Amino acid sequence: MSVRLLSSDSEDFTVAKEVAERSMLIKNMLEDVGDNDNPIPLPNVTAKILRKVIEWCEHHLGDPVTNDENERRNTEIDEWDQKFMEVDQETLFDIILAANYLDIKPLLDVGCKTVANMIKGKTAEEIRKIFNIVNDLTPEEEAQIRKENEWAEDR
Amino acid sequence: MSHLAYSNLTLDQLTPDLLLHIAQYLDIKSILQLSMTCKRLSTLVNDEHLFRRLVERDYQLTYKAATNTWRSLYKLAPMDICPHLGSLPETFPQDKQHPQRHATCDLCQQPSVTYLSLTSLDKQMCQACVSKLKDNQQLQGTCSVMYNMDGQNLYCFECSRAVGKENSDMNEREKAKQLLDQLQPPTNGLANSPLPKPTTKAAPTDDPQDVQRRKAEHIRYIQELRLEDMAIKHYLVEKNWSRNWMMFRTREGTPPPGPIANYRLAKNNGQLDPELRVPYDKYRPAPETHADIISERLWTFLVDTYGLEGRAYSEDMLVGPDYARLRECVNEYKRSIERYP
Repeated sequence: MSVRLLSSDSEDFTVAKEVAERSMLIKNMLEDVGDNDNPIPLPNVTAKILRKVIEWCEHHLGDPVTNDENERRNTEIDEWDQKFMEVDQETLFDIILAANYLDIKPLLDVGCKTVANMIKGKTAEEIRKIFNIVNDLTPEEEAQIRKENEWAEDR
Repeated sequence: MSHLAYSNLTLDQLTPDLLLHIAQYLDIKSILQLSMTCKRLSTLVNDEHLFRRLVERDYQLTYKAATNTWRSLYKLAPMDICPHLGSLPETFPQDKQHPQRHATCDLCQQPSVTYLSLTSLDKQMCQACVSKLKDNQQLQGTCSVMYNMDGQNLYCFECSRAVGKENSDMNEREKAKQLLDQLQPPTNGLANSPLPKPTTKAAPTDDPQDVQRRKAEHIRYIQELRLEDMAIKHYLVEKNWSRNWMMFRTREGTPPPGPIANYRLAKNNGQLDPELRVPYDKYRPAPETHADIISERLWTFLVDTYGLEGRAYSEDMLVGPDYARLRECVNEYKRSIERYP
């Protein structure tokens, strides 16, 4: 059984049904429409990102489903996923957005963990540099936040 | 570091739920640094959704007192709160709400249950069986918090202590109280057979367990006062006992009464004494009566809770010329509610 997916830039992908069903969005759509040859339009995902997402889903096809919160809160990322996520920031955020839209929880987790690992242990200034963030806080506001959260600094 | 490449979409433009998803993987120091990068991200450090997750992640706590914020709870670093209380269901299954002290233990079948598991699956167990399971580490897998019928409190076998006690953290106290409020005080369960005396502890009269029980029973009494359904069968309850029960309900420090003393209403042959005086007005106190008239609903509760010495006398037994006077009193009593609109 295979399923056809149509990216926002009209590229047609044919993938195994089990692969496509890693996406809860697609799984639910398939249940609603039943067997049918029409491609499923995914207006929020470009061909470039969809290709990445399908690659991830194929590799993780046999993964057991984990509902354990603690498991999910663990920030470790397996080696294959680390390599997979070595992309430019735009692609990284696009994968996160796609995983969110397609409702692929484990891929969303990996993406968010990757971003979290980029932030961890950095100062505000370093984080701004990495993510190209413009500081629009006044020095007073900055001092205020620091003061209200002094307790967090020695945790 | 390919991640350093320029991007159209920046971190601060992600939706709040995605930012939350990322931040939940961070330690609090990094969250603080992140929130000092710009205005948009500065809200993270006050985000209750985020702190709720952090409290759960770092302290395994899933509940808090209503007056607290998740952020202030996180700030507290709540090491001494029992996290296991959070895994009890918010509402207990019906059959768990009326614990019965003398029910049999599910494991050894002895009639001396002490601990009642409050999740729907399992069990009620006596002290001995619980200790045995605990020593063999076989209590894992079930919720470690159980209801202790002797103390009428919750006990956590992971934390090895009673939870929600007066000296415990206020979040824990409030949660324990919410849960305990769903439970009736344990009843003796063996309704009509002779009973061991209920827990009339002679020693500390201002027992904190009694305070809660006192309140619950007084609420029952008030429900009885408001009860206007006179189609319900009514029973006679001996007056002195009834007065002792009233004292227990209304006066702190009074011990609960013993079994209902209905034997005092009988003649030598055990039959109800036809000469008894009973009230004939529900809302006007009658002096020098021997018995009160109460609904079957309250009667059943009292017998379950206190046990009965003597017999049950319902209005159905008031037949024949001997009991005509008593019968008329009870009828009058039932009609009296119509005089008070």
